Amino acid sequence: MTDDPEDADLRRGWRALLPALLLVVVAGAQVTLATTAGLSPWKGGGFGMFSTTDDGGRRYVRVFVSAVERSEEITISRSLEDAARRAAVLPRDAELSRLARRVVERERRHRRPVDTVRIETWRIEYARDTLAATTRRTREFVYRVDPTSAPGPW
Amino acid sequence: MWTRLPRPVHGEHGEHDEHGVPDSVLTLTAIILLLRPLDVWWMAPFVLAAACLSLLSRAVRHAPVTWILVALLVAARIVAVWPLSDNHIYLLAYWCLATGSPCRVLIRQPHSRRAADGCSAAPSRWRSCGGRRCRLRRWPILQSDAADRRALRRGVAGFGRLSCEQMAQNRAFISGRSRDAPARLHSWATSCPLSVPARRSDGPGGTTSEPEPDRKVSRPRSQPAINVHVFELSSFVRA
Repeated sequence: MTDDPEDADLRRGWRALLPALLLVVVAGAQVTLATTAGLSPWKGGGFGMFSTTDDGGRRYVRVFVSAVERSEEITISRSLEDAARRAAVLPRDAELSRLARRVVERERRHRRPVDTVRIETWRIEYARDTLAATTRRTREFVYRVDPTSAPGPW
Repeated sequence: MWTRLPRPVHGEHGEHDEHGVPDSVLTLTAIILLLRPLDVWWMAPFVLAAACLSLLSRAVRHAPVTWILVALLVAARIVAVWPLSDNHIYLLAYWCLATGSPCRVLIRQPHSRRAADGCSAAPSRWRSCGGRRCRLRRWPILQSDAADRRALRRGVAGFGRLSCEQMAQNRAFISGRSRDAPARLHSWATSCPLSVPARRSDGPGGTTSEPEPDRKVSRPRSQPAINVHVFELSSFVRA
């Protein structure tokens, strides 16, 4: 059975188009997420770095932990940094829940009570005329700890 | 496109692989991979190893599978750190994928007149009328003789819901076998908002003139009447 050269060209043609098609699909998904889910325009395979200063470095999260006789803001430790960066760049429920679970695990590891984790996502914006920097809260997320969930082995 | 890794490199002058990717491009891509921090510990060694081998071995450098693998590894890195990667790493993945893909089809000539005519000698599964239409529309994009605008000229033949007879007339006109422009093709070419319709080049310098809408476009056989260098940026802006 001989391979038709036209068929071979057609197959090669599709493969040659693959990178371009992939780029279009990823760019479309990035635009959708940036529009609907607050994804930083710099991230996710888009090209927002050429049009906006809203990158990951200008976004941050604040985490508040509360329990009986306890309500405080905690610092982002090294073990939380990765999850916090992801939550700041893409403040969806999934990323924020992930960060909150990490916080709960860490608090339990240190034998501190935690009932609720409140996460605020902030970003730095610049005034159009003066370029004065201001911070703006973009999202608030509350994660209630399931009291029936068993603490870890720590 | 797939080659065994130790496969010797073939090329007219030893500069290009079988898909026309210059050796210097592959070398520079390997250097970029070596210099770029990839951060993910379980993936970086493989990428660095591939880049080192590519620099050292010409056969590895010219094997598409090398670049496909690197593209997959970089894509895995993107997924692993989602959504923290910026667009540079995405572009690197696209670049490696394109390097491993058979890009030569984008610039090479069709190897036969059959290919240029699209469906005349198509395999059996393309012989249906629907298959012909589909093939005519896809062929210019895939074969992409875009450098000399043949793809677009051929694409013109397949626009709209045409019968097989109309498509045959269009193909005959565009390929120079007929002197009379089919009415529907002519009306499309003179009304398409994305096009600078029915330009006629009077020479290499390219003085152009708009045809009168009522007249049939006639032309010498050697010169296409519908020079579809139509998808110009200005046209898009206007549209």
